[in-house]
Amino acid sequence: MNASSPTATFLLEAEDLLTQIEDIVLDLGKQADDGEAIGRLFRAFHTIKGSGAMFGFESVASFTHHIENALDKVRNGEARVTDQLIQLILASRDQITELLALPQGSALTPGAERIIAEVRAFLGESTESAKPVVAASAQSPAATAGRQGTTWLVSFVPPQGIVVSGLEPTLLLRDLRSLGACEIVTHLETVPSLQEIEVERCYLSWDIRLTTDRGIDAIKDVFIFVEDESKLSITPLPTVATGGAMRAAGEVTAPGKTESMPASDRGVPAAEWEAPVAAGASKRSTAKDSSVRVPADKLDRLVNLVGELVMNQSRLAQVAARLGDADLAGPAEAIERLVGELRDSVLGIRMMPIGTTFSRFKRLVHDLSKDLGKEVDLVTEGADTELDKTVLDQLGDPLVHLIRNSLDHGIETPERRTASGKPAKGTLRLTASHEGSHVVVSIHDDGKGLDTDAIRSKALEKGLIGPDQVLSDRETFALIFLPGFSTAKQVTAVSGRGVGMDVVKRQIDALRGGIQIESTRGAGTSIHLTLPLTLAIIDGLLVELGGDQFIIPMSVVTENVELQRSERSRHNGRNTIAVRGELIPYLRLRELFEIGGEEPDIEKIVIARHDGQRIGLVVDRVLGSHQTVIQSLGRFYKHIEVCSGATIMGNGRVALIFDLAGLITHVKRTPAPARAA
Amino acid sequence: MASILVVDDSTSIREFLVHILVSAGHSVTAAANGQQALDAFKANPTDLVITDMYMPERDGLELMVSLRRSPRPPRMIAMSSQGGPLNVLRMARNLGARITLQKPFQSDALLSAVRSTLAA
Repeated sequence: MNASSPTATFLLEAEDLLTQIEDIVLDLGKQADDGEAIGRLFRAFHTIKGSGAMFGFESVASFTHHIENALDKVRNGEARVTDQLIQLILASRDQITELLALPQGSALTPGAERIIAEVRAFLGESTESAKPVVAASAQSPAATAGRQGTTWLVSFVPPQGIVVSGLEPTLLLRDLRSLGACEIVTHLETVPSLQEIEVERCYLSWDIRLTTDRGIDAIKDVFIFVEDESKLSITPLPTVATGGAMRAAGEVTAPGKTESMPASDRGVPAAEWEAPVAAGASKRSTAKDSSVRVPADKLDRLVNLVGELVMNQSRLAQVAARLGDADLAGPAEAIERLVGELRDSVLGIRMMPIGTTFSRFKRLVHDLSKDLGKEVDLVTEGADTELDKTVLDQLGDPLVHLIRNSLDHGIETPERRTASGKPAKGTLRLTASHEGSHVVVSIHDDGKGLDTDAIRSKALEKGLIGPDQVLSDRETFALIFLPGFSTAKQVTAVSGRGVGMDVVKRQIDALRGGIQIESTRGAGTSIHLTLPLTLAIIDGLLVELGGDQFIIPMSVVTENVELQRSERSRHNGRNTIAVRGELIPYLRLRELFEIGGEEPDIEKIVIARHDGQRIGLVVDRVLGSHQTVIQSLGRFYKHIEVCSGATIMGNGRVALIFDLAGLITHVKRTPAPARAA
Repeated sequence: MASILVVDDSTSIREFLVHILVSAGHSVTAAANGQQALDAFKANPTDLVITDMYMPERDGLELMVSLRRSPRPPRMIAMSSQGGPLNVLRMARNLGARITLQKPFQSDALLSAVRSTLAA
């Protein structure tokens, strides 16, 4: 951000919010009862109102207040999203744009007054037409709620961890009491015996009969922090029902200024006013239970447990196979299937659409293009592609960096673009799609493309390549990932200094992903990030080397071929093999790891793909595919680059998981003579 | 002078507040929503947190609830414009905001709120 005046910043921000509002409203047209969208809409108008007032746009603030009111009603279920409302919101949005164009301190325009009148009219009508929404949860009395004092039955079962979460339930009850006369019944049924009590847990629940002239919102207000985790139902009681049974076994606590109600003698039978409780509760639960927020560490624990379950299941399968007992085989197979389903479901919980990450970039692109004096459209595709949350979390930074790079170095200024016959407005395309067990996230710009000559001379200057080295375009592009490489002639605030593409590469490597660059001079650059769906489990190819088992990630394996002893001597020293006419270099892992003993007559070469090239890994035997739960090697072995982790096999032995990129780096670094043993 | 964390999803307000507070000699960090604020606070606890109420991710009240759980709870000032379904500023006071500011407010009001909150 440049150091412009707050007013100018506000105008930019309002423009952004108004765009958001338009997007949300148009989506709302398709799916009317999206509470989350209404919330976002409300916040957007609320921010415009608040900031507008701060910076002297009183007319904007007072105008926005009315539409915010309408949205508030929708949020509370007192009004519904209709075509008319959508039109009104869109009209208000345009009106705000007009009001913002007027000098600060201007009065409301006649157009604005007209819309306000329409909003008022809409709300007037809708209180009638929307009655069913409220009444559904309350049969009848809700409409009169808040007039001359309604009696509500509030049933409140807090989560057991409520105290740990920093909330004191008694304070909530005190808040309730401040609303009106309360009769509170405390339920003790769930309190365990003394030995089992955990002091930080809350085992109590409450029924509260509250008579208040405040509306249901005031009551909900009290529970706002706990309503997600608690079982809470708030139901109006018919005014005659002043007595009767709350949930039976309970103790009446009447502390403080509690005004106890007349006893149950003249009350209606319990069933009569208990019925709406159930109705209200079930309605609430269908709305609330659609999603549950769970702390990430609980989820991680679950994934770990499932991982161990998968391992033990495979041990069980091996034992069952060895014993060959039909009585055991049946259940063992059933468990295999169930564990498989369990694993998929649990991993599925961690999957999140990438759209949330994408949407963060709208603003980034907007701000950056403004700062850089460029015009850029951000197009996103595949926002619903799902990725493991851990991957998503760690993807943000590299993406920000790549987007910054595209905007800063890729897309040209409007003048330049027009001069070279392109549209003045550049396009940045952010896409995500599934490819097998991977997700490919691509950043494509229609900018000037990478300058291979500049990269080459820079690499020469830095001594990264020799003067007569011949490089393909792909190899040249790969140079920009080397540490300390940066083609930018000057360090700009946007691309930052110091952190270059090497950091991006490292971050993507850490996710076991890959980066490919495609670029055409003058036409643009595409950067493809290939990412694993999840970090917890991989498909691997189980291989054997000198009696030990190892795993090669299946995602890099393309095929296996045989290597005869005779062939080996024929290729002596060259370590390449021809596969269907293509010469492929291979690594003899036996030599690399100095594994003694005699190799078998026929070895296997697992052909893997790395950075667009094929490379063979020579092993003794290929045992088959194996789904693997990755366990990290721990801190002491962090420096071992050839393995990304280990897994425990069905027989209890440990198999190391090869990291192909690490293997290749390791081999490149180790001088050739040392390996030629 | 104090360390202050300013939280508002509105860039203009955020920058405005940062400008005022820095000019008054405070060391100020800013966050655009409750979640960012919480992350920033965890990394670098401040003496005072000034927060907006309606924000995406984690709103102001949620932020305050979480901040109170901090081993070093900061002093808090809540701000909001009027309107909305809940009397959020009242709730903010219940959650320990010493002073609440209703938008719009003048920079003097902010500075005196900061002074008295820090002095308390």
